[in-house]
Amino acid sequence: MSKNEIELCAKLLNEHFGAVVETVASHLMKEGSLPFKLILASVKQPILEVKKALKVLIYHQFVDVFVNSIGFFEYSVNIERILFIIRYPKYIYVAKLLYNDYGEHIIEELLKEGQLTMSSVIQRVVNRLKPALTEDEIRKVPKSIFDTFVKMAETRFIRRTADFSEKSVENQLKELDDEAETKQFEIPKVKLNLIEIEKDDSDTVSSKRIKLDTSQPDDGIYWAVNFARFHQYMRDLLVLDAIKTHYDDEKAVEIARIIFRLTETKMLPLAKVTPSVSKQDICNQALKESICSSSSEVDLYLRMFNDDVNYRFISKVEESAGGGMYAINIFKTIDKLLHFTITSIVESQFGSKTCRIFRLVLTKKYLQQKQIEDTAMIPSKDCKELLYLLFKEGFLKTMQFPKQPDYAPSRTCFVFTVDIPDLCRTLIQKCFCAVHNAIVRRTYETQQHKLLLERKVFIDAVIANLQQQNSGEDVQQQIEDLNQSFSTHDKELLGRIQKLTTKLELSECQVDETLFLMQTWVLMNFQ
Amino acid sequence: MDDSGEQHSETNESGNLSETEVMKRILELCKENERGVTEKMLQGSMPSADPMLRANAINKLLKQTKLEIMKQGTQLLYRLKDQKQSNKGTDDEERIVYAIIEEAGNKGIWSRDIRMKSNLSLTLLNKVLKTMEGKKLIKSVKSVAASKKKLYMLYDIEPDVSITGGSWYSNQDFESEFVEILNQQCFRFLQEKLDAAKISADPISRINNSYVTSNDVWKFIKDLGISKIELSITDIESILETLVYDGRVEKHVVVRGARSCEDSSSSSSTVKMYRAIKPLVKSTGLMRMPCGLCPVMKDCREGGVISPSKCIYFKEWFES
Repeated sequence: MSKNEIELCAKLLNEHFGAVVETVASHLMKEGSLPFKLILASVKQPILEVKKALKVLIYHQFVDVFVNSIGFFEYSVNIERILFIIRYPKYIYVAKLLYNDYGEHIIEELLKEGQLTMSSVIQRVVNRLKPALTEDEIRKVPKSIFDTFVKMAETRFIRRTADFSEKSVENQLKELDDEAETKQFEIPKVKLNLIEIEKDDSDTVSSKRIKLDTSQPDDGIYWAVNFARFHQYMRDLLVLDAIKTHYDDEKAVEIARIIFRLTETKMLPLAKVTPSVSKQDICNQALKESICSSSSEVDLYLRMFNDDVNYRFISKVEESAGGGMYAINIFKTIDKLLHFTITSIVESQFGSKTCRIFRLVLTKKYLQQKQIEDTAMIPSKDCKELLYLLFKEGFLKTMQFPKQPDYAPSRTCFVFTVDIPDLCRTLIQKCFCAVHNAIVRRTYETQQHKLLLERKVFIDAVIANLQQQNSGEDVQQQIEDLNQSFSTHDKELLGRIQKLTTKLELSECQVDETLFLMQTWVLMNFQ
Repeated sequence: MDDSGEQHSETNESGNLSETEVMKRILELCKENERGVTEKMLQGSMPSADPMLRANAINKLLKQTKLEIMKQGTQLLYRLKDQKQSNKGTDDEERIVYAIIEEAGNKGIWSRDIRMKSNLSLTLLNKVLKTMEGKKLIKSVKSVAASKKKLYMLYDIEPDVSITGGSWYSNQDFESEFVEILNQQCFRFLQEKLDAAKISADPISRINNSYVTSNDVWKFIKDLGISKIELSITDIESILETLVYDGRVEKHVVVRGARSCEDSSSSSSTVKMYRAIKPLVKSTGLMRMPCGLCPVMKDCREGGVISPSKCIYFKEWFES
């Protein structure tokens, strides 16, 4: 964990969970793993507060608990997990994309609470939807939510975390590793009739019923978001996006999507290539979904993919009687995307000429200065300048090849090269730094105008209250008056802060896109 | 005198004398008359020769420094150049230097290297070089690699491409603007091809039709007439190569087959094909906020002189 990561984690925790959680986590990050007593001693906060903070951290899986050799519980921070907070909007978006509104609500609730039992997820989503729906509609809702939940578990977007229903905590910790993988996605029994569906003002009957039989059968079985699966899906989206940009053809994307869908269940999370699919299967699926008009058209697309030697996103892996087996080269595509991302970073930072030099070294791997000057067709003086600029900024590295063992500079060949893993890690750190800065600036701006913003919130609340009560003529007048309490200057200021916050939040998400690509590459490259 | 004229005269014999014969005759005539030969005498000795042919022959001999030309009154006088006389001034130093320069061939040699090899003093060498230059035995050429360095080579040798820099240099200066324009035009051509290929029915021909051979690009540039000098296909290929490194074009090598171009003169059996592409990533998220471009990122920290809360780049970015 780097300084940048720790700083960013602290900022993220502070923003979402408050100061105490931040201090506890910061201490843990600084010290590695600690038992509770030591945390308490170093944090200097009331014991209840610290306990609560730790509970929050454990609940969200930000902190891992394990039993050390003496038998104490020790707590250690999982930094990668905390950094996922930046990506929360993305997860919610993916859930909405795949499972509509119910999926979105389920993921939102799980992210908000860290982990929940299935029954409480359903309850919470129902509570959310209650105000907007009529009595009849609401009766069908728990079942639909249940179905969506089951589907999400089947496709492994959510997983079980801990099962407190039968065993003690100690046993839980010991047996966590032994648990069969499939059990992670097993659906417990839930009594849907226990879900409160009545409107708040008329729940006398149901509350009685709950008192009679309050315990749900899935009590203690907690569920959380399965981030790895989300990342896998987001990675697949990146691959599809690359295919779309490259071929500029919807049908090509659809065929790639078919291969993804057919291999979804057999896919290993970090495999560099999808399992291969026979041409026959692709054809059948494409015709079934009426993407292509005939199997020969599918054949044309597959041949096009395979013939495109420079890119080869999809290639034939096996020659067999049925027309061959095809697979998507995920890592290759991610690799290409990474190359384009890095070169685009170079281009926007140093200009197109420099970008040419950089890409030249990237493609040819090892080049001497003279070779670069000749091939890039840039005047040698400028070329030298740009080359050393890239070197200074760490985008290029030099390697030495001495002609004699004394390493005398005059008799040594220097070649330029790009160390992609190294560069990638540097850029990842830069991304962390950028997100950190954006958050700092955002909090700073809101702090600066805290009073104004608080006043705005208060007045908005008053207006909302008034509107709910009645909508007479005098109420309109009152609302008007309340709005008048802001001067033009204040209104301008509010508009500015609003615009600036959105801009910063948007760029946080955008930086995360770059971050995600690079992290995926590093993960796949060094698995 | 130009090469085409010479070729013309050699083919056009038509019972007359060929150029080499004319040259031989002129030399003989000059040998007989040591004091010089006039135009009239030449005409008289070979009345059958075409005046153009004769002029060409004389030009060639002059270039070979076998003849020298003089003026007597109003008419020209040709005289055999005395080889011994011309070498009379050349002393041992000159001969040594000449040998060294000759050895260097079309790459030329730097005066300091001549000094090292010949062991002559600087002033003496400079004097020798100057006199030799005056006699048109050698010439000095400036290299593109090091503009301050003067290279010497024999007078009638064409300097190597590595010294002149090839088509992209004029007077030791790299014509970056010219390269830039060619780069743009080549890309435009490929882009147009790509757009034109979009209407093709099936996906494979859509891709194949957007591919262009380097020969096609070369023809296009030639027809466009933006270049004053004659560009070779290799020149165009190196321009296309820069487009590949700009990430705007992809290159593909195919074996010469049905789609081959007509000229069979080039020995290679492969054709280089180029195709415009869209970059996979246009702009990255990191670069869309000021931190991506920040020059003082390293010094930026909360509470420091440069800090995210007080960052002026952010401020400018909010306004935009």
